[in-house]
Amino acid sequence: MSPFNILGLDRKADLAQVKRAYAKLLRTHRPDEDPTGFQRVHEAYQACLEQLRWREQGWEDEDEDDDGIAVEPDADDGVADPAAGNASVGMLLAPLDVATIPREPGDPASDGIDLRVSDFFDAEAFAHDLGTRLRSETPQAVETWLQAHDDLYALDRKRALQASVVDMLETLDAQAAARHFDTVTRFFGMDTVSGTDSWLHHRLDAIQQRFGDAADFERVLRTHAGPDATWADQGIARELLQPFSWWRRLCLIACPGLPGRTGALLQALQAADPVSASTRLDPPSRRFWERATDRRALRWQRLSVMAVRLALWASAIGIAVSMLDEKTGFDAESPTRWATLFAWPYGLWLAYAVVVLGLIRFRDYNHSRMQWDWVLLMTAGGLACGVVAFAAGANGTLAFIMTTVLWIGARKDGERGSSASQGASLAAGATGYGLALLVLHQLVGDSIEIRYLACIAAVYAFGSQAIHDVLLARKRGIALVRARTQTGALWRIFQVQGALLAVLLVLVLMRGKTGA
Amino acid sequence: MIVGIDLGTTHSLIGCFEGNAPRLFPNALGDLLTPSVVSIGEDGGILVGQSARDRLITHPQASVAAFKRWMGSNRSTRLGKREFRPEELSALVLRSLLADAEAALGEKVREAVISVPAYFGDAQRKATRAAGELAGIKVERLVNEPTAAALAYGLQERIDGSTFIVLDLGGGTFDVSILEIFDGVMQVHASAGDNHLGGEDFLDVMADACCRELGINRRALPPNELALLLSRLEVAKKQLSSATEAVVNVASGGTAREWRIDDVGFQRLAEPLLQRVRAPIERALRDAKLSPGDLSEVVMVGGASRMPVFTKLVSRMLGRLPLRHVHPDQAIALGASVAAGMKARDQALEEVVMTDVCPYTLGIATAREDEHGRVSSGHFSPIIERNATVPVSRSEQFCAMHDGQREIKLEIFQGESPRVANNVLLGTLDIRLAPKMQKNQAAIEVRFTYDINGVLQVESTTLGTGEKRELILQDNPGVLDEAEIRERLASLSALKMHPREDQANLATIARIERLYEERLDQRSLLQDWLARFTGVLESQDRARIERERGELSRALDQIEARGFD
Repeated sequence: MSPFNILGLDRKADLAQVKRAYAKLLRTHRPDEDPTGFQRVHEAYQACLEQLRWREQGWEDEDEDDDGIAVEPDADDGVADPAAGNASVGMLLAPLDVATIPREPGDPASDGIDLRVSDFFDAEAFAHDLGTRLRSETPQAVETWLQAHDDLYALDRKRALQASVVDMLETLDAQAAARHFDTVTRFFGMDTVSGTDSWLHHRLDAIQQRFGDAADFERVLRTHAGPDATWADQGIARELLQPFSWWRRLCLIACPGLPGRTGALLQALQAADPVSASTRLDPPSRRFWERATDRRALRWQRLSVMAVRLALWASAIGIAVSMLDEKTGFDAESPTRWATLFAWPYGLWLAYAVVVLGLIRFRDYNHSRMQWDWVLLMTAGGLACGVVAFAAGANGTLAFIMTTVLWIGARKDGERGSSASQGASLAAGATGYGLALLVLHQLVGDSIEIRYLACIAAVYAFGSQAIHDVLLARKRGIALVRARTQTGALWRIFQVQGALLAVLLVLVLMRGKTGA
Repeated sequence: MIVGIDLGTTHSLIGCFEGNAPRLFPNALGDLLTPSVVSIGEDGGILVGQSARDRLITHPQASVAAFKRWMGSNRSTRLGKREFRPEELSALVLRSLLADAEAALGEKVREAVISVPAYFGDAQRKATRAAGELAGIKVERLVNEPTAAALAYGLQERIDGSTFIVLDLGGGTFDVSILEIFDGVMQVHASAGDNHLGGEDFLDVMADACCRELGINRRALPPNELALLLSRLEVAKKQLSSATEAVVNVASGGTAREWRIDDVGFQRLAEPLLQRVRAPIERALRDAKLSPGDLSEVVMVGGASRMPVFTKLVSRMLGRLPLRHVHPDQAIALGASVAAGMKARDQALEEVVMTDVCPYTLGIATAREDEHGRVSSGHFSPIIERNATVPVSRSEQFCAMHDGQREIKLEIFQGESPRVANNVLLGTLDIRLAPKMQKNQAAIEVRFTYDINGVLQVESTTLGTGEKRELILQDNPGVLDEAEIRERLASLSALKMHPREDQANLATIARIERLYEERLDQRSLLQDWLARFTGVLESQDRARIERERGELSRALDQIEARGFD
């Protein structure tokens, strides 16, 4: 039964007829006396109005069909008589005291023209201006500006701006959007549920979801990688956020438990906010660690991780065994033999690590310019280590490894993206220590045991670091503990090391002179 | 005979529909407006009206005003030895009004239609009904204040075929309603408002500024000085409606100082409050799907709507429209009386039909799943959208959240925010589902029925088993239930209320006492007059008392009119 029928009209009725018919029916189906009847009539009235609106906009009427109002035609309802006079509310009332506002000349309300609202309004400029303010100002300041904005008193204009405001909130970064969401939606009337503007609410929901997620993402990141997290956790976070760092990845692979933690953090971040995870995390690193910690499939990333760890621990065990053998009287005289025996695994491990991880970097970053200097430095570093190992023999190798590990442990990651300089500083450090050991060994010969030389070298390593940190802290005016996290200039490291080396040389020579 | 009552924040009125017109009843002092103030006398008797209002200044601990703002909450006030709930205070005012009506009609009144702000929530409406019951009358119908004003205005002006907006800025609440009148049908399209915005807030802002500028600590002021200051500021606020500047004499700590406020300064102070006026107007227009150009009139009701700052803002927002102040203090009561007549099916009102809307959205709490498979709960799914014409009945279907779900806890909320955390919980319903339910399969159908008296009925049908569960939202934590009402009715009846004949005398005494407090310069004179009047009262000579009272009133009028030396 069509709504027009329910009101007792035919389909071609106009607005005045619809209203009259509705008014007439209401007298028999009053809301307080006949709720169901009233609802039926009222819904039919609304449906008729809707159809009249469509008709006005040029749409065809829908065919007569049952639009869900299942109703028995009421036998008493006749066709409305359009000739019936207007129902007049004939009654005599004592007149109320109606007072209009006193009109003063020049008062805008009295002229009937509001001179303050200009007809021309640049919506784009407004949206741009709003966007700038949202990025830089507090919510209170933005609200005050919006409320005082003269052009926004015109309600139609304000309503029409809703779409551009939502567009702008979507392009805003998550923190700014979160800060201003409530004030902006409240001012533009978008903070209440509404059936008609569901498109709007879907978009607003998505925005809120986005910065809700972004907030979760930040929270996970902060708990794992904030200032009070352990060094290892901070390194893991950096590994995921920053581009590939050869040394960092090596450390994470080598140390027990850290790959697992990396995988766990990655999963937590992706669960909190997949969108942020794909934009903020470094994609190749993310891919690598995803595959490396994926227990379900055996991918080559995972294999490489396993292989590197195996090589490292194998050589470490080998060297430990050599130390024990030495105690038990194994012939330690031939440096080459020991070097060959235990430097090989070490060298192999280093070479393998360099090659494999370099390949990973090359593969993942092959869209960026290949950094040959980095590759050269890495190779040089590896060779230097090998040379040192050869020259210094078994105990030398041990000493070298110890100092290198101490170097790693004592340093945190330097500046982002400077893996070249990191590699360079590593190579420089390794070479420096190796040279120091060599020099000391040659100069001192057998007058001092190699064990003590190793200790001196370790002291040298720590000492140079400490001096370097103190100098850096004084130069930059920061606390000493924070100097650990900063990368000093490369030349300063050389300076310090060179100075210490010179001091050591002098001491040794003096001793040699007096001793000899 | 059904009466119509306007139970306002600052004033209350009572009337009925008689003959062909609404008619208001005067109180014992001859005024149509009775201040909504309650006070306890030294003898434990209750005073309501102007005498209580004067006692706000002389006995602030024993008097209370503006308690309409606390309706729907549990806030209790201590007067004398007894604690009063807001419903009880309103009931005392209602009793006084009913006594006035009964004196004029000569018969007992059993039923009334009371006006409430359109934006009053469920708990507040229930509290108003409870107040009626505590006053001994039946209150079946509540009429929304803007609708009542529109009734009075529309019928008086014989409006037909016009869409207009009613802005009601009263003492404590701000309501906006958009109405259309055609062929004797008065239809409300949309209502919106702010329950915490009214003339009192503008007064509050002035008081803060005054204390700040004069270096007074408002919180440290003794209550009677504070009440005095507020009453003077009220006068100044009214003066600003017609003059550009007002002067307030502040007497604190023994010294008398002057504070000046001009209209520009007041505009600046009131700016945050005025900004709050914008949102309800915009929302009502939006919900009615109209623009300001579709309105033919702007009708302003309520004492505070006289403020020029308010009218300027409205004209700015709505453009060039005739702004009409219908008699701001009486329109709502006249409209409520018409509504009472309509309920009583008065013959003269046969042709008039009124429809109103439910001003807030009703729905349930739901959870949603996004495209990543993450579930978030606490979303508000509307079932009856705001500004649906009542009575209304709507139903929606909802799905289970996970496979094998056995039950759903339905939480029913009222409000506008998309998050249920910001809305008001009305009730809960536990529903058992059919066995072997699958995720995203329609599990229940929920039907909300909201009747013309504002009672919400929730019915849920479990699809699959056909089991129905029903909840009629009667009980509300902030509101009294049946048993409590009976209890309190008994205890309220025990309170002594002064008979009407005495009220005029008591009012005069209260007035002298108040003037004594205010006017340091006239104290000895006032004291003499008080002593003489109490002496005359003791004589119990009716005629003499009336004569003395008349003369005294005139003398007091002269003093008040004279201003401060």
